[in-house]
Amino acid sequence: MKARYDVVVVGGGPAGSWTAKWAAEKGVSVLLLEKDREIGIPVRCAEGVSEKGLKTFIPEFRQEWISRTILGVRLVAPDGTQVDAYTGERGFILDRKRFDADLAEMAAQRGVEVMTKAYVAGLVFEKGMVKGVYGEHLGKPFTVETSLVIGADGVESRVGRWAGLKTQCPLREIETCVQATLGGLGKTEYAFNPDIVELHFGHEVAPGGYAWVFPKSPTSANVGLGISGEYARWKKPIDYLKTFIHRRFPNASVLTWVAGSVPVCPIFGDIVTHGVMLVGDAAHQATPITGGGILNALQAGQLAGEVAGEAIRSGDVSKKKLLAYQKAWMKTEGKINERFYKIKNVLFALSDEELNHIAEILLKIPPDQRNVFNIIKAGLFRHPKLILELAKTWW
Amino acid sequence: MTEKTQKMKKRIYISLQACDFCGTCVAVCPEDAIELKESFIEILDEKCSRCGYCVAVCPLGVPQEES
Repeated sequence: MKARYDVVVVGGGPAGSWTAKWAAEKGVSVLLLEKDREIGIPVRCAEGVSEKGLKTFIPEFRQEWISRTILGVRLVAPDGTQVDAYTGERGFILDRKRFDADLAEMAAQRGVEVMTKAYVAGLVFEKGMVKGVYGEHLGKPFTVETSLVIGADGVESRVGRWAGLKTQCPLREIETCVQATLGGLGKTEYAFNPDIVELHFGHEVAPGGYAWVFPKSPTSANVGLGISGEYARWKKPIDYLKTFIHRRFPNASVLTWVAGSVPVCPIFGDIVTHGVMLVGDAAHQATPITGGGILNALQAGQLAGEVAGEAIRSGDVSKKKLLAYQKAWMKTEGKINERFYKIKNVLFALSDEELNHIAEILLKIPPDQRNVFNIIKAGLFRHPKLILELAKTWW
Repeated sequence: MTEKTQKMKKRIYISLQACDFCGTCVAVCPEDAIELKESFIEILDEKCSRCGYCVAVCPLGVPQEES
């Protein structure tokens, strides 16, 4: 580690690595700090992305990142009604361990210095400006100077808070999740289809959220659920998941348990300030309806990295300069996320009867027209104004 | 539903054996009172306001009031 870097990125997930890579492309020096021992572990993710999205953001796409290619979606209503939908494009279930490690390595290839087991405990300020970060590397204290800190430190982000940004998540705006990777799903009684993902809805299954089955191989899957934080006080996600697994895959082997969460409200204030930028879950950039955040992190990472690199080269890391990133984000995915956020509030408040009704509506649509747009549209049957907003997102 | 949770009277503890170190409690803590490292987590009692959000949100039910 050198004494000083132009940019220090806190967090080695996709958002951190991709921001670091794009900043380094601009010819500035970048240090990437990851608190855990190894990039990509533990995998706190259901690992689903769209094929088109991934290839758009990473032209250097690698086949080794793909655990499973997905052809369709099965929606399961509270009364058990199944609606098979083909969203018009293929999906991938990633191997996030491999994917995250490769993104960090791609950043390293561009000259980023990556350090793991490097915990950041706080920011160093001087006359109101960020001058560095301090923490522990392999248990020993360190301080490093920098003029620009990127907070890619996930849902538990503290970089933003230290810099005065409002990143705290209200209970009702966080999806609190548990996932098990199940094995031995080849038994015929499980009727497991490894070519489709299953999404299960209902207040008994996952209030204010949904349960998912994302195939990892012909006989294994990530099986998890997320519920709105406001319900977790009464019954814990782990207990909902045990019930769900017992019903859907009785006596299946659990290969891994993992807990986690996703902020599902945009940050309505700033995600940049003097010498500080936030990306990924730290900036609440996941899509509010799905909780998916990988592609959003890649897109934001590119925007943030480019602005960071330009800011350093121009010698100006003021908030005014860094707002270029926030504006670029708000013009693209950020704007869409604000619409999805409004729609999410409607969808996640639907009663089980309404969800069953939506399943009936969808069954009347031909399967090849059951795309994401028409599925969400069906869920908004009482909200014509939101259907208009949804349409703006698509066209 | 409102943001109100039952206010905790006693100190809140997180068991290192039960915790998965996912950071969900850190995200909702209004006081920035939780330190999370790779496999270590601690509620700083001098900052903690006993609001109980961490107890409410945890996916696994790990944070508990002192018995």
